[in-house]
Formats: sequence, structure tokens, C-alpha cells
Amino acid sequence: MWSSDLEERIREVLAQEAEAARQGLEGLEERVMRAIAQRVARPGLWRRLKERWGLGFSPRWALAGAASLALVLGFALGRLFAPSPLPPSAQAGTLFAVVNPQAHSVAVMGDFSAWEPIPLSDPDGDGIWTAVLDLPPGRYEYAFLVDGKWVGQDPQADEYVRSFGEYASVRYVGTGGGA
Amino acid sequence: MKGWTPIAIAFLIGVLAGAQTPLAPPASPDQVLELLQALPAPPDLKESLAGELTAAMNEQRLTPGVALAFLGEVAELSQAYREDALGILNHALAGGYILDPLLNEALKGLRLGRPWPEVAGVLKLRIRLLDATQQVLQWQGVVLRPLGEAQPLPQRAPQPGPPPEAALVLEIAWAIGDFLVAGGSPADAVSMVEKVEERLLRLRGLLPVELVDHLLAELSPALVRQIVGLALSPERR
Repeated sequence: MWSSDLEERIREVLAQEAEAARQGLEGLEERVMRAIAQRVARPGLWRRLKERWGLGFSPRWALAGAASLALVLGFALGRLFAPSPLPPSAQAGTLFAVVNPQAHSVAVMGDFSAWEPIPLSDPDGDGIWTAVLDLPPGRYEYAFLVDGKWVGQDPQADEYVRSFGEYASVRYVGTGGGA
Repeated sequence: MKGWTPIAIAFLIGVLAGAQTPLAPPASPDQVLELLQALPAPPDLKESLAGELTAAMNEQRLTPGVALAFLGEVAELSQAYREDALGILNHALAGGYILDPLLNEALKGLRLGRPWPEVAGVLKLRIRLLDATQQVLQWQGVVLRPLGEAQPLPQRAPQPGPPPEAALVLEIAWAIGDFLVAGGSPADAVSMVEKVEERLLRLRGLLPVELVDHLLAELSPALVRQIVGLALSPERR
């Protein structure tokens, strides 16, 4: 009795699986042909971009693109190959950065600016304020002004000095001994 | 108008490719001398300063931009403080030192809103250390001549800018001064030697290596003790 129940149950399951497979195969050929047809008809990336964003390829744009590429390439190659009296760190500029998403204004000041503030910028609003200064090799004391408040200890500094009761940071530029 | 947009974008890309925050345009020596003449100060002091400032700027011991900023701050001081500031400047100029760090120190103190007597105290200590360092290094034979004298050393081709000895005197005096101004003990010669060594090693690529190595070989707590003792001696105050 027990054995015949089991056999019946197995038959039911097999029948269900066969039905499911049959449903899966139903219209398979049609689906495959449709997919192939879609793939052939799908436009290339450039064409899709053009259609979506309406990018034309007028002679002016072609000229502008070529000019931009030439400028950037020329600038990069010039920087790479131009002979220069300064070491690479001075060539590339010295980066000053402050991470402070709450700040409304950030500036750096130091020996390189006669302690006049030079604004840092955060164009994308991610709280990372930066300025790149073209400093000749040497030792520079500096501090940041964050919303007008003196911040003398830059984590990127080579050392710190303390005078007038406040810290100032120090960078060695192009000496091989620091930044 | 619309047709120029691609050209404008191309131009912008070119400009951004080389973007760096520019420093302020350099001031000229004439601007410095004009500001000096406009200051309400004794004419004989201004006359002496004009000559010394011109010489210092010509010898690249002083950057016109730094001098201009300093004189601009001095103009804002009371008459007594203004004359004190100009007197300090005159003394430092006569010593033949590289002056940008000294005037930058004053600008830093003033930027922090410190009163002039506090700023002047630091400047006077710095100048005493410069005088003492120069003198002790001459005794030791590291610096062969007073910095104000312009005759070139026979073994070295003359170069533009201040002599390397002036930079060496400055860095040693400044390293010791940084330690003292931050509240370090004048008796702690070992720490001061470490500060001087660290500074010279970091600047080894900028200062003449043979001069730096010679000084590093001579450097000792006794030498630094001699410099500090001379700088802080009562007759120099």
C-alpha cells in the first residue's frame, strides 16, 4: 500500500516537470529569433549617445575637439619633456588641502604669500578644499584659515613650529627632504 | 553666438589643463621705496633704510613683496611702534642677513593679532641669534667673512643671490630660534643640536653640500651653547 502511494507520487512529480519543460520550450524558436533580430538592429554606442543626447558632429565640434586634445596633449608633453631648472615637485606645484565639509571658506597663507590669505576652492562641494601653488624650492611656514580661524597643524606638513602661541606647519619643497 | 560655444569650451579645457592658483604678482623695489618715503618717520632713518633696502633687494636678500607687506603693516602702527619697527629693520639690514624670514615672522605675528611689543621681542631675539651665529661661525672658520662684505671667495665662482654662508647662518639661527621661541630651554643644547642637524639635512639639496657637511662635522652642543650664550648675554639685550 505504502509502495503504490509512493509510485503514484513519483509519477505526479515527473508529470509536473514534463509540463514545466514543455511550457519552457513553447515559443522558444520565436523568442530566439526575436532576440537575434533585436541584437542586429541595436545601434552602436556612439549612435545611441547621438540619438539620446543629440550630439551632432559639425565641423566646428570636430575642430574644437581636435584643438582641446592638442592643447591637453601639448601641455602634458611640454611638462614631461621641457627642460627645467626646478625639481619635479616644484614643477608639478605644491598641493595644499583641507578636508572640512562644514567650512564656508578656507585659505592658506605663509611665507610664500607674505602671510596674505590665498583662497582654497571646493568646486564640487565634497568638503575637500584645495589649492596648488607653484613654489620654488625652499622651506615654507604656513597655516590655514578655516572660516577665519587659524589652523596651524596640517597633517601633510613635514614639521611644525610654534611661535606667538600658535602652531604653523612647514613644508620643504624640492629639497628631497620633504614634500 | 551659439557657434562660438565649442571654441570657448576648447579654450576653457586648455586653460584648466594648466590651472594653478597664482601667487600675487611680484612687487617692485620702486614700490617699496615709495611706500617707505610715504611713511611718517624721521627723514634720516628713512634715508638710511632706503639705501639698505635697495642693497638688500639687489642682492636678493629681501623680496620686494615681503618688504612691501611689512612696511604696509608698519604704516598701521602707532608712531612709537613704527619707529621701533623701522629701527629693528635697519639693524637687520645692516647685518647683511637674508631678511625674508625675519619680516615674515613679523607678518605672521601681526596676522595673529599679537601686539607690536610681543612681535618686536621675537624679532629682536631672532636678530641676536643671527648676530651670534654669524660671529661664532666666523670664529670656527665656517663662515670666512662678515656677511655684509661683498668680496667673492676665491675658490667659488660668484653666483646671483646671497652668498651660501648667509643661508647657512640663517638656517642655524632660525632652527635654534624656533626651539627657543616655542618655549625650549636655552640650556638644552642637545635638543638644539638635533633641531639644527634636522634642518640642515633637509636643506642639504639647496645649500652647498660641502658647506653643510663641514658644519655638520663641527656642530656640537658646545658650539650651540656658545651661540645661545652670546645671543642671550645681557650686553646684547
